[in-house]
Amino acid sequence: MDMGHRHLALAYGITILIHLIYVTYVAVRYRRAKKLAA
Amino acid sequence: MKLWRWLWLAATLGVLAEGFRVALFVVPPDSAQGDVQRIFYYHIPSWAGMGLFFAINLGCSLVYLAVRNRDQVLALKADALAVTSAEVGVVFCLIGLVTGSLWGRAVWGIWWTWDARLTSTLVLWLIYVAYLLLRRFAAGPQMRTLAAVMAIFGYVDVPIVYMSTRWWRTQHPGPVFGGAPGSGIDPSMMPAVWWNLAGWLMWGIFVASLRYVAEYRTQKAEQDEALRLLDAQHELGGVTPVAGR
Repeated sequence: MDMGHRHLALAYGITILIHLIYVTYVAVRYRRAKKLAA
Repeated sequence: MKLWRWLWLAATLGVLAEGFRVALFVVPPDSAQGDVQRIFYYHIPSWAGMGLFFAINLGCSLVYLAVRNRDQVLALKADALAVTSAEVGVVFCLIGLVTGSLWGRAVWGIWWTWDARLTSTLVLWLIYVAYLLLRRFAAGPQMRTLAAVMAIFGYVDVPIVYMSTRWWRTQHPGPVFGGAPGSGIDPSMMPAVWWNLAGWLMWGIFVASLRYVAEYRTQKAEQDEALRLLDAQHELGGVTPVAGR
């Protein structure tokens, strides 16, 4: 794999990874808030 | 989670999957850069998401300042949406910086340079990180007002970022869309732009809707708890004035 393809894969991978990390954090906050409101 | 959110999530994942397929396997590679140019299809939606959510943050901050003494419920909703949109905007901005850096390394041979577009964007990201830190660590009744004022001043950097490639010709290329004559991309590449733009904006709206519910419920619960404690103090006759208020 040359540098262009490696960086393309990294860019797509990191984008998805950052979004997954953030949505996990949001899901935790959502569940906590749901319990708090109950 | 409500049914409409599950449906929205399913539609979003479908659009994102199609965007991924079109960007990698359908549209042709760039004649000059080759396949690495396909980073563009994830890079541009990040900036669009950032622009959308920072604009929502500005609007909500203005609404909060306008109604905070008149309509507590609307003020609480505006404040919750302001913090939500700042968070989602910061995530999109971070992804734009990272994908841009990876693209720059492959095309320019450098990870980073202090050119006008990159520097103003980094400053913008730092401003909104500072906004979130203020909200996280500052206490007291004035925190929300201070944060709203900071958001308004912080937004000044958004048009500077947008115009930076028009005002200053440095390392970053000129604008692709709405730029000089001859700018833009080949129409055969546009489907990848549209699918990914739609998919990532739908994703941003989905995450923001969940985060908003979490923030609003938390703030409402904290407010209700504070009022309950105040009522209990009243009943005990132990209310003492707070200094400076």
